[in-house]
Amino acid sequence: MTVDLTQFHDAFFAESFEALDAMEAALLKLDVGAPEPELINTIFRVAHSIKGGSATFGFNEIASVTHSLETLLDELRGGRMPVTPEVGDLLLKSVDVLRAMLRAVQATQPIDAQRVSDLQFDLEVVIARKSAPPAAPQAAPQAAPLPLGASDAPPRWQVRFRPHRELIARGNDPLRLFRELGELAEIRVQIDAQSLPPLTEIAPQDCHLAWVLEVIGRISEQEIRQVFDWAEGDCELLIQRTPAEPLEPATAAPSPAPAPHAAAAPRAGATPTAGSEPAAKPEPALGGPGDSGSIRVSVEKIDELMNTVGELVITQAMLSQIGARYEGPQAEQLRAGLAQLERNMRELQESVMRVRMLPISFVFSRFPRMVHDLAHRLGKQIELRLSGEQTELDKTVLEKIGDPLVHLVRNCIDHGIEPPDRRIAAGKSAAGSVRLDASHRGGNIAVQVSDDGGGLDKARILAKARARGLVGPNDVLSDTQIYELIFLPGFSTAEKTTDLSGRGVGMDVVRRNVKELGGKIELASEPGRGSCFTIVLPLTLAIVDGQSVAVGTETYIVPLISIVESLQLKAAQINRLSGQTEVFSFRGEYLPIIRLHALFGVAPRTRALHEGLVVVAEGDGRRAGLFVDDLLGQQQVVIKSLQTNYGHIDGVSGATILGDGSVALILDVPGLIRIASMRVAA
Amino acid sequence: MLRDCCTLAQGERLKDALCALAAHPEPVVLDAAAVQRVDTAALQLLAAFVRDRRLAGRAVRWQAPSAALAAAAELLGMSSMLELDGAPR
Repeated sequence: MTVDLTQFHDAFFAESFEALDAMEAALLKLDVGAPEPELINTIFRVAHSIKGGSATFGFNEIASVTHSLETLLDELRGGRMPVTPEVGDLLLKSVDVLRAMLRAVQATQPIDAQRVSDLQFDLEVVIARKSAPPAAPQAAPQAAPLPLGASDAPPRWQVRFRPHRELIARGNDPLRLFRELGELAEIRVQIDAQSLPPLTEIAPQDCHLAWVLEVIGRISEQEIRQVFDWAEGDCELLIQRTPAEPLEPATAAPSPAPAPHAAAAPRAGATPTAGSEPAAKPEPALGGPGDSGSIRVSVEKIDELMNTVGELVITQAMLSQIGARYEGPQAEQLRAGLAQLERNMRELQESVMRVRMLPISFVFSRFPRMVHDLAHRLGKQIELRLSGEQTELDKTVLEKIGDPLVHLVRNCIDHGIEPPDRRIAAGKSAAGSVRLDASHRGGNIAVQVSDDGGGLDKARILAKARARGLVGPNDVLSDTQIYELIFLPGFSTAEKTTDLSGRGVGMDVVRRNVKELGGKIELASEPGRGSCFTIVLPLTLAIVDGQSVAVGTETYIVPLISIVESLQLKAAQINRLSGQTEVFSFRGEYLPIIRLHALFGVAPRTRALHEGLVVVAEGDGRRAGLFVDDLLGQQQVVIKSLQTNYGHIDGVSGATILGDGSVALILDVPGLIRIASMRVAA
Repeated sequence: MLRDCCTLAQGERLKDALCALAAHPEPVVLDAAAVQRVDTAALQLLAAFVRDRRLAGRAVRWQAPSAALAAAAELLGMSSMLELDGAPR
């Protein structure tokens, strides 16, 4: 029977990339000298699972590299080799090489063989340098052999371990499993080679052996199972408590077909010894509690579901409107039913949205490594602090927020944090700190990137802007306006260009990316104390919190995130500049008025500014007043892309279908302000 | 003579080498002094080789098996099967 394994490739790649990220994160947490055993275990397990997967799928180069890596990790794990900075770097390098290999294999492109063989050579050298030969297994554990006195006998377990044929090919070596077990307790091993075929018929990667182990020591069934965790599914494993006398060799020979493990627990409980050991814990789920019950679903399927739910929301709103008009004895019942429907719809919508949500740690996780490397290269000391990693947001937003964040963090490290000597001279600690923090704010997520560096140099920014003609020589700008300058295309204040930042592409791109996501970016800075960028993003791109406004018979949606406030103008507030532009005074500044009816060619209820309302909206750091007839209400609307269904329209970011079935355009405030200023200029 | 690295990666080569020796009429001497790394796959091949030879009434002798090999065989409970017990170190 042949199984087409290619169908599993995608899952393998996805899992492997995730696993490498986890490994990288663990490596960066690894303390040189005094590594935490659990971290090394994590790293080991990652290497191990990638090895198993790649061997299964026939990616032999990857399997071979991970094998070497695993050997090294095994030494580290066993404490037979210290974790030195050199080893740490080598492990990080391995992550890079493996990632590159996986990418190459995924894209069915050739692997960079030189890089791989260099790495393997380095790994082998480090492994070979290990001075002492591996200690005999029984001598390894510090747990001194326990006295086998009758009264105080340690628990004994009988472990029947019958690997499936493919166990070894999947990267599980019984030798290593036993070595691990031997470090936890005293073990006596008995082999069953009855099924070992003649040499000529053995495929080297097949396992034909089985074992019965006697495990003696203060070890729980769960701990034993954990050792075999990675062989799960590739073996039959039966663990039983045994009475405190040595195993008879005759009974040790395993029966041909051991019972499935499910049967093990009750039986283990049924033959307790009179010992004083703690009661055996209930049978753990074989896969461990953490990794149960998740499935991979393609994003398209979820989008489809999301879309259908969006349609349902519209239909439900339509029904509610119709229901409200009904009279008669059954109308009450109908309305009660509709209210119930509405509640259920909202729940359904939220559930589906939650499916698309991922914790922002997926993006944050790349930073420790990046900061580590950057700090190294720039000769700075950086402490990275992450918080709010569990904050969830839509996968699409998550994917697009990565690059802007990388840019901001690079900027903080490159421009923000001073070199250690300058920091000390300024009375700060030598190590600068960069913080990444994510939190929910209403229906939005706010991601802050802050540093405790020198802050933005206003004088230099202004001088630069003047030199470039972005600001007139005599213009006086507020702090906020000066900070705004760094978001202009082509603006860069770095004295020398590094390869990290300061190539003049940067902050303007960051702002554009954030804007494309319907978010905004804010900046605060204090000289000598550092600066803080705040990105505010919608949780999802599928739904927007909007204010519906009426212009004539049309309804438009203004995203709430762009609205500063709404007000009714008094005639005294309004001014006319150079005959054309209408402005109004709003808290000490003059803002242009954009008449939506004129822009969209709609007949309004009123043309008199003081009879309608003005919605003060903000985009790209600029504000303007949108003149509308009336405010209708705030609601969540499902965004339908105009781009895919119709075509791009300036000033409009999408459309939605309202409860009465009519279509409303969702306004793109920055775009509107741009159009308005262009018309004035023309 | 076994190489320093005696693992699954070298499995096919090891198997071929052992198969070539399987029917050798003279006692075969396995020189395992240089073995630094060994895994279950390799030991399984060696075990089959030693057993097949024994069943055919032909001898296998070990020449200075390394500590790594001996430890691995011990851990897997294969020392007696491999006839490593009395092997000269």
